[in-house]
Amino acid sequence: MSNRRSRQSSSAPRISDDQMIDLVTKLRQILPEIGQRRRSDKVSASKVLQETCNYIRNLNREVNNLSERLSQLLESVDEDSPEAAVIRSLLM
Amino acid sequence: MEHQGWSFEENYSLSTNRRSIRPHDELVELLWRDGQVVLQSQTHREQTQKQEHHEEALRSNTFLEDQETVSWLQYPPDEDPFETDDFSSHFFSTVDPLQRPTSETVKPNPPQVMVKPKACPDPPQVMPPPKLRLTNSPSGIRETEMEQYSVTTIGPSHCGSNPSQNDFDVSMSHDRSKNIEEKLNPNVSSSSGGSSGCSFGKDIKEMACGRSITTDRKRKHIMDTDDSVSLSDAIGNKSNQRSGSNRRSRAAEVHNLSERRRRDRINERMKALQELIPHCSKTDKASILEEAIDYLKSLQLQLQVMWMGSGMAAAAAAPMMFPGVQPPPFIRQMQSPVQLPRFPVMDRSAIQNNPGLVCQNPIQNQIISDRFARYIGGFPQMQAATQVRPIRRRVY
Repeated sequence: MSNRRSRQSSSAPRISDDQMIDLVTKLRQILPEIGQRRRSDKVSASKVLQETCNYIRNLNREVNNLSERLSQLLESVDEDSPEAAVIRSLLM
Repeated sequence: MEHQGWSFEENYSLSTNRRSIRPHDELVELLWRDGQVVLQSQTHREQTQKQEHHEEALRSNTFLEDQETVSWLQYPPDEDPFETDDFSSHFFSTVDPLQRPTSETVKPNPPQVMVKPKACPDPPQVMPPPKLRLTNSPSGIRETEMEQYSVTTIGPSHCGSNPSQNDFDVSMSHDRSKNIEEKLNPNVSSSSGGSSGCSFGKDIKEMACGRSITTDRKRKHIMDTDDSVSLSDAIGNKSNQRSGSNRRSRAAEVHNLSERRRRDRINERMKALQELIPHCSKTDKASILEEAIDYLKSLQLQLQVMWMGSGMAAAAAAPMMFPGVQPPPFIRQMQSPVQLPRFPVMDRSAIQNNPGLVCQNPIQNQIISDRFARYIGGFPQMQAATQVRPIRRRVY
């Protein structure tokens, strides 16, 4: 059985199931909502992956928003002030 | 089957250089429509042709390296003279309604098989004749058996050249051989031959079609179920012998399907994740997951820093000093004392060096905390960070 699977996905035989479970668990700990309220063994891997994708997109969106806000704030701050330097480094 | 019939003709004409085959077919076609009269003249000529055809079938069979079917094909040349006589007599004794099928039975060779698709273009018509043949007479059974084994052998040889017809051809021949297997078990030592024919057909199907589906599944079960489902009406009697294995195979099939669907879903999400992660060159699942974990942590940290920076900037812009204006509500996992990474934020090496979210660059930490302390009312950075923690609003 595993031989057949390995033909489909190239990485199946080299990665142990435990390793995958560990990674998924770690991922779930980072994610909000999932893994916090529910019981840990009921969440499927595909759900975790989906939540991860959504979370990454949200974080990216948040970063963009904040970057915009910071750039606006930068304009309102003196050019030479240390805050400007901080903000500029944040925006890099 | 039409194509198979045509390719039969081509094969035979090419290898034997006998154009007389075609006239035979045409004459038999006439037989179907006109009557029995012409047939009689054909039978004598056919006998000489039969052996050649069977030899050819043998050749193609040996080419395909199946000993058992070769042994099967050796039967026909011996039995032909008798059976054709039987059939010619039987033929005249039959009634008109049986005209068509009996005309077929007179020619048990591959030429007859070739003729059928020619005369009757619809594939469904091909299937009833085997049934009728089998019920005609015991000698007829033997004849059809060898005929159909010749079908099984020759059909697959054309499968490679005509891939679009593969499934239908092989499944057709496969079913015929299976039908024979059931009917002939008591008669001859055909059970072994039948199974060999079945397995032979299966192997050819996999070779020719090269489907991942058939290679992944338990071959016999899936072949059986597929064939029985597709042609059960025409063949009949199969389900009785295969119900047990069908149930098991269906359960296994269902399980396999659901398992495959689950895996497909996971693979799809893995691909989406891989696209989201910047500069991800890994293709195996574990490293993609690791990268995702690192990236998520770095994103969280980045946001946290930016929130603080924006708070600081807002504080600077407006002469107010309050710490942590809008703390990132979704970051909750900062249980260890969080120290901001060095600037510039979020380069990958920084994050990889901070598995516990602890910056390993104390100097820059100091700088940051100084700056923040100045503008955030003297709060040390850690306290500002810790204030971020408890809020758990979802920002989505």
